[in-house]
Amino acid sequence: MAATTSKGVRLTPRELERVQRLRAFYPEAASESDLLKLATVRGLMLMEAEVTASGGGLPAGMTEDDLAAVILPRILVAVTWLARLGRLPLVLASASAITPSNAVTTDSIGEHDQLETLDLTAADDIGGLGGDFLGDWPE
Amino acid sequence: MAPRTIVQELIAAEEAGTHPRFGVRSTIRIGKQQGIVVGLDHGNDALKLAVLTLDGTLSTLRIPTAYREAELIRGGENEVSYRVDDSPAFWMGDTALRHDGDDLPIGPTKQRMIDARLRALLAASLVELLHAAGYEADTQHLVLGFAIPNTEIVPVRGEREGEGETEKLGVDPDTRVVLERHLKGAKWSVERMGLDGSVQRWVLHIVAVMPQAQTTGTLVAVTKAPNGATVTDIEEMDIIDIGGGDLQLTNVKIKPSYQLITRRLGDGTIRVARALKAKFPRHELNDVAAQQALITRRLLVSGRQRQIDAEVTEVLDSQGQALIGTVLPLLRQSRRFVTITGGGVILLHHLLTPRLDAESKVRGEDYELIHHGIASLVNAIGVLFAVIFKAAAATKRG
Repeated sequence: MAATTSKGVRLTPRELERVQRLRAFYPEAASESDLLKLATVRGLMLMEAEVTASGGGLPAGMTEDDLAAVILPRILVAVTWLARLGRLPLVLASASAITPSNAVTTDSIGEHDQLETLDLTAADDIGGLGGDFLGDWPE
Repeated sequence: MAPRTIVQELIAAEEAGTHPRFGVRSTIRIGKQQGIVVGLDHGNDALKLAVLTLDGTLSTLRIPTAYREAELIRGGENEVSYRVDDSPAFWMGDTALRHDGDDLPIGPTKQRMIDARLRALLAASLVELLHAAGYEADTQHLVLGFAIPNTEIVPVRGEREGEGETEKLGVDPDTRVVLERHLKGAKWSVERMGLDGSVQRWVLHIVAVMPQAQTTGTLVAVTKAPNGATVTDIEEMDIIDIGGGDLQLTNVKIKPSYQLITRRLGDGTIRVARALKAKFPRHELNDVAAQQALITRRLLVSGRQRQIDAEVTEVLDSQGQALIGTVLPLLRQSRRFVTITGGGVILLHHLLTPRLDAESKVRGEDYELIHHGIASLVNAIGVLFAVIFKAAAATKRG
């Protein structure tokens, strides 16, 4: 796991309530701090996409395709919901037949994205149950 | 939206009448090669296989473990046949059963894998899976997740740098030897002769093999999201696997770390199949043919395809109910969450559901019966994802 640094944030009681409410929907977050970390990472991805879209450049080590593949599934959930509410601009509404299931192809998922999006602790769970590759992992 | 488990994704797709599609790559990098990941559950009655297509759609197959050397068809409709390396041409699965094929050895992996017919069936099954999933007949590198009986996962002693001698769960040494000899690194040339007489030539190269306990597949599928995140607040679970050969109970601790203890409770649906065989004494059905007849409720008898609903109902009412009678006390007595799965669910779900409904425990809260449309395939699907997770970690950690 990558080294982390503690950064404090101050939340209003109302914001804290929102965090507590969301926790029930994200059982993978073991604590409120975990959920805030998740929210931060997702928020950062969205901000990086906004910055990239306006010509501000990409984070180090990431291509446009990488970033697009990571944020696409998240954004499409919201797009589908907005379409259902009838809140999409006309130009997007006409294309709202694009759903997550027919828009995302694994061709668009780079190896880098796969490694970034998978929860690597799953490998430890499986290893703990005796599941492992025969022989050494090739370099 | 809370992420769903792999099984929840499968059930949602089943209920929507679509094929489940995951945002996960179908291949992984292993050394300098890309390998297609395949999950394989080698059951007593059938091979169950799972792979992702190039667009991430799940493709699965269940092939009864029946084998028969192909004969020259001198007229009429052809059959799909296979030839692996220098083997004779053969039929497998349903086709072999239609031609009085043999069932293949059951038992420990080391006894099964030494049978050259079984290895040929395995190679041909992989080709059939890749063909069905839309891969091209070509040289294909495969990374194989191989589900082995839980009893072949044992404590293994090893040396770890700085820690001296340690003990952890691993593959039984006899099983490991036979998998390293016959599976890891295997290169098979497979010819697939189609119904129209066309011949496809495939070369399969098994670049890596990851053996796992069969129940690990179910555990992964019911507790993990497709991205590997654990999506459950359950800390301990009992998995009742009603398989073709065995009825098994596995106690699993999920949090803080995984632990797995397995007990064999008796025969699985084979006891029902043997009761069905006894109803057709003149026809010498083998076990695999009887298991298949239980599911299809059809049997070729004296040259006629007969519906055998009455006979199947009769054996289900006796041996099937007896099997359920073994399962229900386990549910009642367990203080853990209980998951009921295995190919036997296909056969027994219409009997199991009302009897489970009559229990005081509540479905979803105290137990779950895996949907009969996917129950026999869950181990293979879970094993497929386990390989993807494990390979990602190995690549990332170098």
